[in-house]
This record gives sequence, C-alpha cells and structure tokens, in this order.
Amino acid sequence: MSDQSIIIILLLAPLLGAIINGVRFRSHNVYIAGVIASSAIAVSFVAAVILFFKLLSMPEQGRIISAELFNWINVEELESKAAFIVDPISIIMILVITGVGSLIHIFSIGYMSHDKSPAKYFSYLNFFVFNMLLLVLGENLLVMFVGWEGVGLCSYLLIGFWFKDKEKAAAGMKAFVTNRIGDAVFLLGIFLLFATFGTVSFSELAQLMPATAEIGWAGPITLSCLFLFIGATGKSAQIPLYVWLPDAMAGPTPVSALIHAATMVTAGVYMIVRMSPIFIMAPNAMLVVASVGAVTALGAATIGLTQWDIKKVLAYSTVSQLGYMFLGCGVGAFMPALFHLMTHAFFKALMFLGSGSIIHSLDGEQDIRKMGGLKKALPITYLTFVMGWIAIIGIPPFAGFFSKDEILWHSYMSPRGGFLFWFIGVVGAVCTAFYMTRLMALVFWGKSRVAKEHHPHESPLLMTVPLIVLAVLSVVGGWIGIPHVIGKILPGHPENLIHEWLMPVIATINWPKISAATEWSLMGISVGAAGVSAWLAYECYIKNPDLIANIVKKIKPLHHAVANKYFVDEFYFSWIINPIIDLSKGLWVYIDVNFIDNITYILADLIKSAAGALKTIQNGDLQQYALYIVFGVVGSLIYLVVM
Amino acid sequence: MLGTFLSMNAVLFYTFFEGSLIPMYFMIGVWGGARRIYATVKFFIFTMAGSIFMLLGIIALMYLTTTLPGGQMSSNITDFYSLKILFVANEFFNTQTLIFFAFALAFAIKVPIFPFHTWLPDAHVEAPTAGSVILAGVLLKMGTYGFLRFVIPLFPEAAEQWSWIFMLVGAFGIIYGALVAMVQPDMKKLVAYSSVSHMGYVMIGMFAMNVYGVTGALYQMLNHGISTGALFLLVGMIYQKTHSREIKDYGGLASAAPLFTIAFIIVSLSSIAVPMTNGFVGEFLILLGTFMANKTIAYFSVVGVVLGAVYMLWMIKRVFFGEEKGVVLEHKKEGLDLSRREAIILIPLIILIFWMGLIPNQYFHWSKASVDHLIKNRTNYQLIEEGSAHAGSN
Repeated sequence: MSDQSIIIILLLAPLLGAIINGVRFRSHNVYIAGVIASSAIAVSFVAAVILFFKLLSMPEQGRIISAELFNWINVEELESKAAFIVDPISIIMILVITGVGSLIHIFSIGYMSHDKSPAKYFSYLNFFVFNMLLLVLGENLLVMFVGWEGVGLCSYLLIGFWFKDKEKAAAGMKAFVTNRIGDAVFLLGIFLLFATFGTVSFSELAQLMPATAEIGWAGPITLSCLFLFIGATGKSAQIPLYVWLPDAMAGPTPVSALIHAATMVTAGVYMIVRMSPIFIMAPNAMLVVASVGAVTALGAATIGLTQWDIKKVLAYSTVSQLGYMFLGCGVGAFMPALFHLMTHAFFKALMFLGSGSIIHSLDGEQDIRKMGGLKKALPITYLTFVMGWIAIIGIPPFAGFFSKDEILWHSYMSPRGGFLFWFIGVVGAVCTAFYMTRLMALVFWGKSRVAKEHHPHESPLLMTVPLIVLAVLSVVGGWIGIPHVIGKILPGHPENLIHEWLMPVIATINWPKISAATEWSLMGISVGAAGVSAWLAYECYIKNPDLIANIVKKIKPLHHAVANKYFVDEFYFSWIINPIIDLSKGLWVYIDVNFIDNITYILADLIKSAAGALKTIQNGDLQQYALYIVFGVVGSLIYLVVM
Repeated sequence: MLGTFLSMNAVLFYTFFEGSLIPMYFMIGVWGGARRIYATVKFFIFTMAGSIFMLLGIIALMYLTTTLPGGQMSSNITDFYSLKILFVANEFFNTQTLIFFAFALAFAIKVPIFPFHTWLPDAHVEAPTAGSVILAGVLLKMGTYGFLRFVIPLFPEAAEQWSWIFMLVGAFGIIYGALVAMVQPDMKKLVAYSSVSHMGYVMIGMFAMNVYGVTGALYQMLNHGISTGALFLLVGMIYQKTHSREIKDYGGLASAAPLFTIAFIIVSLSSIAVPMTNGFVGEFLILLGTFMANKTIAYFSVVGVVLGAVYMLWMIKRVFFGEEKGVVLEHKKEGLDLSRREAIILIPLIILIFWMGLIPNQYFHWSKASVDHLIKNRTNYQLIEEGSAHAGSN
C-alpha cells in the first residue's frame, strides 16, 4: 500500500466511524456504537504504527511522508492544499492520539453503558479524533486551523453532551467562546505570516526565515508568534484564557481524559514545536511563552491545592502541567516539551480514567470529601492511580520524572531561561506533589466517608484494562528519554532515544555546556523537594488531620483567594462580559430604536410640516392666486431688468 | 430581481432595482405580522430614499456620456465604464466623488450598512418566512452587487480615496450588528441583526480592493444567502408549530426535535464560519484581504469572529439545551421535529454548506475573471497615476 493511502486511512477511519454512528444517533445500544467507534480508532492506530516503522526505516534526515489530497483554497498567491505530513514530530502526536484514544474509546464503552444516546457520544468522539489528526497532520497553517477549530467544536459538543443540565450546556459554550477568542487571534497570526512571507506552509515558512533573530516587539515574526501563542493560550488553557478548562469537567469523564488532558489541550504545545523554526527567530515572543507557562504552572498548581472536586483537581493539574510544557517551549527546550506532552498524556489520561472509574462506582459522586478509604473497594483503580501519582510528582524511574526534570534543568541553563524560571518550576512541582498526595489521601487512604447509599465496587474489565495499559505506559514511557548523565551509569548505556528521534526536525538554540554535577544537583533538588512535599501532605491529611485546618485558619485571606481561583471568573464576568451585554442592550435600545429611527421620524415630520405649510398656499382662493400672479410678473420683470 | 443582476443598462437596472420593491412591499404588507404596515412602509421609504440619489447619479452619468466620442447620450454600463470622470484628490465637491456617494448611498441602504440598517430587522420580523428568505438571500445582494458593478469600477479613484469610510463603517457594522444581535429576545430579529453583521464583512472585503477581499466578499454573498436564508427557514418552521419566536419561551428543544436541532446547529456553524463550512472560506478571505489592505480594520473585524460565536451559541443554548419548557412542552405532542417536506427543503442547503466549504476552488475559478478584471483595472489606474507622478517629479 502506498504511503499516501495509509495516511488517508489513518485520517478517514475516524471520520467514517463518526458518520456511521452519527446516522444511527437514535440507537441505544452502547456495544454496537462502541465497537464501531473503537475499531475505527484502532484502524487508525494500526496505520499510525505502520507509518512509524516506515519512518524508522528511512534515513535520519529525510524522515517525511506526505500526502496531498486536493487544492482547498487557491486565490492568487494563497495556496492552501489539503496536504498532510508525517514526520518525527507528528508521528509522536499521532501515536498518542490514536493509542491513548483507542484506550479511552474502550473505556467509554463501560463508562457510558447506562447512557441514553451512546451512538451520538461515540460519533462526537470519533469526529474529535478526526479533527485532532487533521490538526497534527496538516502541512500548512490553514489545515491546522481547520483541526484547531474542529477540536474546539467537538469539545463544545462533548462538554455539553448532557445538555439537559443548564450548567453543562453553559460550560460547553464557555469553552467554545474562550477558544474562539484564541482562534480569532490565531487567524491574525496566520494573516501576518502570509502577508510577510507569502505562504502558509510550514516547510516554506521555515526556509524563509532570516538568518538572525528578530529584535524588539513589533517585528512581523515576533508579532505573529505572539498572535499564534495567544491562540495557543485559548486551546491549551493558559493564562489568561484557561478559565474554560475547569468548567469543561462537566463533560463525561472519558472526554476529560481524551480531550482535556491527553490531546486537544496539548495542541498549542504541538503548534509551537511544529513552528519552532519560526519561534526561535523571535526571542521576545519566546520570553512571553516561557513566562506565561511558568506563571500558569505555579498559579494553577496552587489552585489545585484547594479544590474538592476530584476532576477539578485534575483539571488544574492539567493546566499546570501544560504550563510546564510552555515553559519548556519558551526556553527553547522543544524536545523536552514534546516529551512531557507524551508522558503527561499517559499519566493524566490514566488519572482521569481512574477518577472516572471512581465516579462510576460512586454513582456520580465527585466530591473528595465524600470519598476516602477506597483502595479496598477498587484495588485495580487504586494501584493504577498510584502509578499515575508517582509519575506526576516526578519520582524516578517513572515517566513524569524524566520529562519534567528535563524541562526544569533546561530552563535553568537555557540562555533564554534562567534561575527564576527553574525556581518557579520547582515550587510548582512542590505544589503538584502536595495536591496529588492530598488527592490520594482523601480518595484512597484513611477512613471511608462514602455515603451509605453508594456501594463502591471495582469497574468491569472494559474499564480496568485501559487503566492497566496506561499505568504500564506511565511507568515505562519515560525510558525513551533518559538523560545522558543517567544513561552513562546505567547498564547498557541507553541513549536518549526521543532526543535522537527529534533532533533532525526541531530547531534548536545554542545550549551552553553544563557540568554533570550541576545537572545531578538540580535533579536532586527537584526530586527531593517533591518527595518532602508529598510526605508532608501525607502527614497532614492522614496522620494529623487537624494540622491542615489550623494552617488554613492562619492564612485565611490567602486561602480564600486561592480556593476561589483568585476570583478570575468573577473578574471576567463583572468587568468584561456583563459590561458588553449592557453595552449591547444600550446600543440596541438607544442607538437603534431611539436614535436612528427617531432621526428618520424627525425627517419625516419635517417633510410633513413643510408640506403642511405649503398646503396653505393652495387654498382655492382666487384673489390670493391673482396676487401670486402679480408677484410672479413683477419678479420676472425685475430679473429681466437687472440681468 | 433577475433583471437587476442581468441588465447592463443603467436605466433598466434602476427600473428592476426599484421594481423589486413592489412584490416585497406586498409580501410584507399583505402576509406579514402584526406591525406589517409599519415595517413595509419603512422598508419602502428607506430604500426608495436611497434610490433617488442613484437616479440622480445615473442621470449625471448619462449626461457625461455625451462627452464621449460619438457624442450620443447613453445609459449603457459599458459606456459608463469608458468614462474618465473628473476627480480631484482630497476634495469632496468634485464630479466623481459626488456621483460616487450618490450611488454608494443607494446601495449602502440596500445592503444595509450601519447606520441605514434599521429597516432590515423590522422588515425581517414582519415578513413571512418566504419573504425573509428572499430578503436575505437576494434583495440584500442587490446592494453589494451594485457596489461591485457600479461603484468600484466606475469611480476607481473616489473608491480608493474614500474606501476607509466604507471599511470603517463595515467593521463597525460587524461588531455593532453582532452586539445587538446578542441581546435580541426574538430569534428572527437575532438572525436579522446577524445579517447586518455579515454584510459588514462583505463591505470590508469589497473595499479592501484586493483579490482576496473581493473574492471573499463575492463568496460571502453566496454564503450569507445560504446560511441566513436557511436560518430564516428554520426559525419559520418552528414558529409555524409553536407560534412563538421569543427565545425565552423555549428550552430543551434538542430532545424534542433532534433532527431540527442537528440542522440548526449545522447552519449556525456555517453562519459563525467554522472551517469546513462555506462561511469559513468567505470570512477567511475577507479578513485576509482586509488585513493586507488595512491592519487596524482587520484587528477590529476579528472581534466579530468571536461575537458571532457568542450570539449564535447563546441562542442555541437557551433554545435547544436545558430542560424542556414553555412552548416546547406545550406543543411536544404535535411533533416539533422536521417533517419530510421540511427536510427536503433543508438538505440541499446543508449539502451546499459543506460542498462550498470543502471545494471552493471551483467557484473561485468562475469568479476569477471578473475579480481580476476589477482589480487589474484599478491597478492600471494606479500605475498611470504613479507614472504621471513620477514624470511630474522629474
């Protein structure tokens, strides 16, 4: 089979699945719908694996498989083809999307078994995967944008899947609109790049980059990178547009795992990695990326410390982890960022699915104050969750350690990073370890606080098998990126495989040499700090439950602010959204209905009164008419004489 | 109406342009809603007032044709094209600028652009469904068509000089229309104001006066006809069953009328220009063209991209989501979903939405010659001007 047809199969299998399930949307049979959808993704996954091995067999420098379907929009110089590329960057994304995606589809069959419209659900889910694949496969910005908006649309549909609940529908709309703000600015980025370089294709753009980096803020490259990044803050839930993601947890939990943890929210990171040759030319834009990433990583982690909804904790954790990825991108560590994207997809999808398994067994309960001691009732979920927990707090040799640590020490030594970025990152990691341990303690350990009417039970195999697979990946997933200093002392000296894999296709800055001792100590500090923090959390929530209450009392105002998410939502509502609505009402009533229409009425009245005045002239009185004739004659005579 | 688009003679054009008012007048006046007389008179007077100026403009142009070789008075548009009308830059009172504004005013009311748009919501709301569809689908296009056929090619220098006014007003209209649409309590009025917003896009696209903008504007004219027409149809269909267009009377329609919901959401997506629908292609090209012509206007106009999503989705949320309530509950038993007849009306439109979204090149192929002609003509002028300026400086 030709390469092109494999790409087409990869892309169209989920679309076909979406259409089939879409047509039979009235069906109630979860198994048929689930099997159709899962096999569609499985076909894609197989295609992705085949493509991976094809790439592997190619020479290092020329690992590109491309496919071109048709000319999409072709006007004057604008040429955007429906063209796709598979290269070392996109193949990682594709494998994650279809691989983790298949597991989540299978999990969904169990999770949605009591739902009334499973076919619709799976149709959306498949359609999402299709759009996500478009996004990562697209060879130019326009095709990427199609996927970019498409995933936002699917996210909207899936968050509001249980639309009878008004709040869920509202959360969906919030997600779409917030994303749209980012998308609109993203469009500006595309325009500016096109206006400057006359192309939207990634490869052509990369070739057209100038030799030296752009200085200042207003240059076209810096500006378009900033525009694109604002687009990314919408999709990838960074400050200031992150507010939709926590609300997005209203959707079914597998959706949160797939869209709001493993794939869609990472689109912004992927975009920057894909455009690394362009971003690298705009140091100021990268500084913004790194700063926003670092602040988000820390800010979201602190909010995570105070949440009581299991999914919200994970949501803020996702925002925070995405912050790390952007931090990595911003300091020029594109490879570690992509690496963290991958490992995060494993352990966060695992934890979301795990929380889904818990929620499922507690008939929809999400409040961690009403859980506790669940490790006995849900042994498999517990064990797999533990893997995810260790992975995210970054204890070696679990996956999260390698990727997060690589980002941290890169941000320390990067000429575009520095100590401050590293330090914020470590503090964020400390918070992460604390809130994740808190979550473990409140959910699985200690005494049960489960309400009597619930009977927690382990989920069926359909749900636990995906958990187990993801748990394994959360353990071993990091081993493809073992840093050089560790590789040296391990038996067999494993190479940093992902580094080797991505090296030829990702732009890079000049990295200063860093001594092995520094690298070891940085690593030691971050792991140590996270470990201590986790131990503290355990002490606080299991051994000494009063302690935390006392601490909260002492820092009440601060706790209040953090627990209320720094009042960002409230700020947006009272300073942006409500004023706009008031303004619109004002415009409608005062400008449209009163002002403009009144002007026309006044004009009409003027004409009417003028007519009224003139009307009196024609009153049928012959003497008056005679007078007019005299006036006329005299007037004409004067005119003739004067002229 | 067909006459309007086909005629190449200005007087004939004017006759058809005005003639199209008559059936509309009766359509709204006879079969309209409660305030139909008010709406139809408003509609008539507004557009009539504009047309008078155009008549004046046409007469002036015909008078000018006597200066052409041959010396015959002519109302043929091709003769108009060969006119070189006196133009003085940076001045308002010169022949070209005055006639330009006379025409532009007539078409601006028809399009309609802010602040001449207030007849539109009234006319739409009172018109029967078929009337609204014709109004949105065809009648408004007479205005934009007029700009492309007369205003820009006949008065190239004036159009160039004053394009900023139209781009500004267009961009303002996009945002204004969208904001006002957002707070409408009546679905039909909401769609009507969304029309104002969409026509703002067409305006800025045309006056960007580059290939991207004009092509996009042409495309958007078609799109608007399809998506807004379909929205009026959909609102009309549900009104027929529930006798209410008030958004607050609805809720949970999605579970009572699933097919209707699917159709409505697809059409809305086209209206808010989600990629893979026709709306995206038009809006993208328009904004791209605008960006090339005037960055500031483009920055403002993209706000419309966000607001468009807000007003449509907010309506969808209130009408379709949530628990079933109000008229939905009352009329549920009678069946609110699409009937076969209604589905047959909508399916071609939905197919067109995707077709034009995925394979737009075919249409660009058709429009290319005219657009190129329009733009090249302008560039020629520019070249001459620059050439003469160059010669002058030597």
